[in-house]
Amino acid sequence: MPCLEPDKNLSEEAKKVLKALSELKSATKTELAEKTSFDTPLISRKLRELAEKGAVKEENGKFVITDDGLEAVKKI
Amino acid sequence: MLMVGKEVPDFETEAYFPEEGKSEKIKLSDYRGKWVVLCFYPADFTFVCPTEINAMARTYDELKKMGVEVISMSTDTVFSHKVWHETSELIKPVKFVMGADPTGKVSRLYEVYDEESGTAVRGRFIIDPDGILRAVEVLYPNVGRNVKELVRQIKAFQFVREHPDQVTPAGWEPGKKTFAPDMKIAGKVYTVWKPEE
Repeated sequence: MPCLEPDKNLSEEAKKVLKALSELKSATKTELAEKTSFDTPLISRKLRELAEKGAVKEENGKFVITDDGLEAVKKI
Repeated sequence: MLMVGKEVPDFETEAYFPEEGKSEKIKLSDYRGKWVVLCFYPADFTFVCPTEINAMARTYDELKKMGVEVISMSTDTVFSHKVWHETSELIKPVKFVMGADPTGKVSRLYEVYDEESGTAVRGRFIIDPDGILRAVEVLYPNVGRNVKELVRQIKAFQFVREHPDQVTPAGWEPGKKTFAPDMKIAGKVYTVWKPEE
């Protein structure tokens, strides 16, 4: 069962990062920074927020969206 | 004392983001790729501290243009930072991240924690984009620091990072003379640099 309720749980910046990641499939922090125009410290904080909520995970140095994350994107 | 030229210890702590009016956890390593000024001070709502934080706030736009991020840090909570930012005229211009270290964990890690007062002394750390410590300044709490000198030092470190064969002499400012340290000028530095240059 998805644990995310995006409108209640995620900040606006986190939603933007999640949406960007869903479009890129997998990405580094730098690639996400380019895609969102956020700086890398903000990307790092938002990825941590998303990872704590189970929406993204790190694989081989890149970030990928989880099934819960994909469900959350549909509601953004 | 933390050694210049060595990687700084990472930390995670709660921080207040004045522009957003909210608190969030930060990790120092999130800032890799940027120059960072980590600036400890004794306490919110005190006397020299607001003058220093205000000076940093007035210089922040210049620092941002130089690719520098500022993290202030005290043993106050994020709630204290929030109210200080909202109520103090000198703190209202602050846009940079205000780190909170109520347990003293970060201050101890950076060896600026004063056990007797439970606060941090005035410690300022310049950290390069690779997380390497480039400069440290620690002052007793009754004297405030000079932001102009901070900016000058960062410009000098940025210059030598881009020109690794060069060194910057005393008081160097951009546009002034630099030189390459070479055995040929050992004992004869006056041949390549004069005090008035």
